[in-house]
Amino acid sequence: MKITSLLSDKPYSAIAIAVCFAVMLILPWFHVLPQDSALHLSAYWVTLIGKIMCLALVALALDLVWGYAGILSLGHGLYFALGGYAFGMYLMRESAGEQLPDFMRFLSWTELPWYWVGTQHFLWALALVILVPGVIAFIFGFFAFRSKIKGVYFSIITQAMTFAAALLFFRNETGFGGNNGFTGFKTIIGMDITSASMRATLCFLTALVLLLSFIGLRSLMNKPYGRVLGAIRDSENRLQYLGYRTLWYKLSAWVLSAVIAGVAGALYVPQAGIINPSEMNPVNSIEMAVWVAAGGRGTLIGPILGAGLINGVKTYFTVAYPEIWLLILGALFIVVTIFLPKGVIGLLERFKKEDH
Amino acid sequence: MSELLSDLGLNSQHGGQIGEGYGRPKAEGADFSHGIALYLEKVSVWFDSFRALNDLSLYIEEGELRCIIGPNGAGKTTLMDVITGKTRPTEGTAFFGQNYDLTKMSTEQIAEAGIGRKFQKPTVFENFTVMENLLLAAPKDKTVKKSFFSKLSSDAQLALDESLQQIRLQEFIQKPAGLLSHGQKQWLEIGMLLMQRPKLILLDEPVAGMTDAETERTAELCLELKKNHTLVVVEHDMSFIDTISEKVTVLAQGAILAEGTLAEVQANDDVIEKYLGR
Repeated sequence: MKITSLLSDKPYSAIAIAVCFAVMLILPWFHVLPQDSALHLSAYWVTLIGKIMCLALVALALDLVWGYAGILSLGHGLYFALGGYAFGMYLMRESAGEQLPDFMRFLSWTELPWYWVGTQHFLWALALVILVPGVIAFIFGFFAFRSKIKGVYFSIITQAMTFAAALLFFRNETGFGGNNGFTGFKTIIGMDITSASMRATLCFLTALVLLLSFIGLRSLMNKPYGRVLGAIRDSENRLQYLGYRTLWYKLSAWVLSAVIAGVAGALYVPQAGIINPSEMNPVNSIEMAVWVAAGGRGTLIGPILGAGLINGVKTYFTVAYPEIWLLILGALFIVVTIFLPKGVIGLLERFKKEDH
Repeated sequence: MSELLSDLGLNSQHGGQIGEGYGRPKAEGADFSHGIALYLEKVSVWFDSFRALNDLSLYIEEGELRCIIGPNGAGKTTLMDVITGKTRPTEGTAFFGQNYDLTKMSTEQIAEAGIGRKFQKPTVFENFTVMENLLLAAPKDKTVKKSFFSKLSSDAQLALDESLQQIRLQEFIQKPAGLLSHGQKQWLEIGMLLMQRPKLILLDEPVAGMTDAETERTAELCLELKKNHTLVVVEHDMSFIDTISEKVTVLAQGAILAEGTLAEVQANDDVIEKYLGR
């Protein structure tokens, strides 16, 4: 197997994708260059690129369940935030040292809640980043899929779930900092979180995780597993009568997707410097679906592109013309739905066909 | 609770197989040693106060091609649903061979045990090619774990060749199933059933909406399938039934009205009154 086929079936696309990923992997290190260097990348840019890549990772995760298995989640912000909170607990412990985290002392708590035990350990925090979204997705998915909840009903429930979680996390008593969430991070495994090398490392790691997830999911989707997911989207009933236990296919894809979203959240939090319940706002989750649709469902590379483009545009407009950003997002969604049913990727393919 | 356990894979894989767990050797596949493929005994299905099936008893012999006819609402589709585990009978028993209790098995287990069902409306995976459709049905082991590896066993390759030959879609193997004609989709769906090497095939209105030529071809296919399979065909098209049938069962109001050759049942007074009309 040629290396290019890891990235795309078409050699030219594979080269384009390889170049993009190479840029994303190298770019963070320009931040480490001395500030007066002409090639120096500012802290603003390196964190922005890092954050957008985290969002691209969520889009990739969402494409697995929506683009392939046809399960539209309007609540992936929940898994993103859970991963973020799990890693945020570690960051809070790290900056609090021997003491309780600040927000707990403000509530005059004297001891840690049980679920905070062990969160000062980096490895346990990483385990939680995977376990918390994974277990919650498993429990929710098992009962939802087993009860044969499908389509728009499923989407609405995912939406309700993330909203309910947001309300829960807003409460101070829940033990996650209430509406302020977590912030004021200082170090990761003893190293300054605002240092140039740490920022570059986080951004680089995000690019690496994105690349590996992309390659991993692509090869998985080319296996019979991916075919079965696609068949579930087309006709789950037929598949069951062929002897497939579709519950397990849907559930495994759902859990994998939630875990990837959680990892994205964990990478996002140290770069954004904050996590609070607004990440679980249903609007955030809907926006994620827009990235996937805009990029091209069921293509894996499309959602990454969609998340990058829309968040790039969003960054510009929310600074330059904040009052019209939502109008633009709405217009974008309408344009994509009507004119680009297959997203940006579909558009690129159309251009290519006309060339020949 | 037991259903929950079996979903979690904690229960035995073949929930419906009798004898398992009692120290008796597990039978390989359905046991037709008494010459009967399907036993339905005193089956009733109630939907609230409506009786979709009413104390129905039906035996299908091994290697038989049985046609089932009857007016709309006679319970034909409910009967198929009972056999494939979609609907549980309120009363009565349903056995596949001597050893599979269909009333205790899931749809997937029943498919694995060797019963293939073609739906009334052709159901194929439209975005996939003919080849991909057939290959989806190929693996014996359809678990998630197995699906991470892609290898076509020589057995599956053989099944693919045989199946393609029977449904005569060799020249379309790379064509997306969505672009096939209505009749070709029906045959493809039958081809998918054949990939699983079923013992019993249920065909729900196989020729509905087909052209005359397609109907003729489907009749040929049914007669070919009869050589190696047991078939149950639900149809309305009398000339089609006339071509393929040996024994016909007439259903009305959830019960059997008459059984015999087509000529016999057509001459039956009850049948004429309730179904064929005078």
